[in-house]
Amino acid sequence: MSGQTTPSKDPGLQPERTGLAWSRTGFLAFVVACLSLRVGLSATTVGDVLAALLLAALGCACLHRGHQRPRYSAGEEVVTTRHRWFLLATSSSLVIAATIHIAMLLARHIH
Amino acid sequence: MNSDSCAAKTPVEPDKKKDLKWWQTGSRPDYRFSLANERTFLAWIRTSLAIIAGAIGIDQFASHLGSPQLRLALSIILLVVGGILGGIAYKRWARAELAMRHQADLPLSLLLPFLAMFIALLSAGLAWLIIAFG
Repeated sequence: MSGQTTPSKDPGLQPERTGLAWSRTGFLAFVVACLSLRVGLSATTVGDVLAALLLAALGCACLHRGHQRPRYSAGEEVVTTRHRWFLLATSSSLVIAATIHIAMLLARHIH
Repeated sequence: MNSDSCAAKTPVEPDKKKDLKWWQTGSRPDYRFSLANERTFLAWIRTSLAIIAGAIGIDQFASHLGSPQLRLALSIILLVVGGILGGIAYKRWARAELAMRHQADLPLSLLLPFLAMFIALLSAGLAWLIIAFG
């Protein structure tokens, strides 16, 4: 698919900048996933490990999206239903990860 | 072609307008504006991730900072703010996208001054804690 599209001729390099923004978001998600894994392993809580897996999956998805830069060729539809769902999933996974961490923190301090 | 581009190119009958989702109304914005909106969304996501990382850092790597209750409170406050920012990122993206589809002004938000104030207070508080307990 991406091999068939023509490279972007946008002088502002908008598709490239957006692709790089996805990539660095993915790298940061991996860093936070490592931190979550550290919490999970040191406190042996399954919830924190699950949050780490969720964030790692988010990181993979963001990196994958960052490598789809040629897809954003000039004039191509950007706001599709699938696109919207991807942003919603990104947002939701952060809310879920934060909620799991809060629950695990409270559980550890109560015990 | 997807339904979104069809909505932008073909006129919509008035009685069918009510059935359209918000992302199908109006006209398709310039792709560069959509991409800029997407990058703003990602910047908010990274802010949220950084705040969550800070919360884990205080919980795991700052064992001499204040009392355990204080560290717990700080971590939970940061996790709540990080989670809320992650959720608000999508809401902001959707509002800006809708405004662009209708050629309206971009929505104003009080989030920026509140976030700036929160980060400033947090930095001052953490600096005091490090000086007092470090």
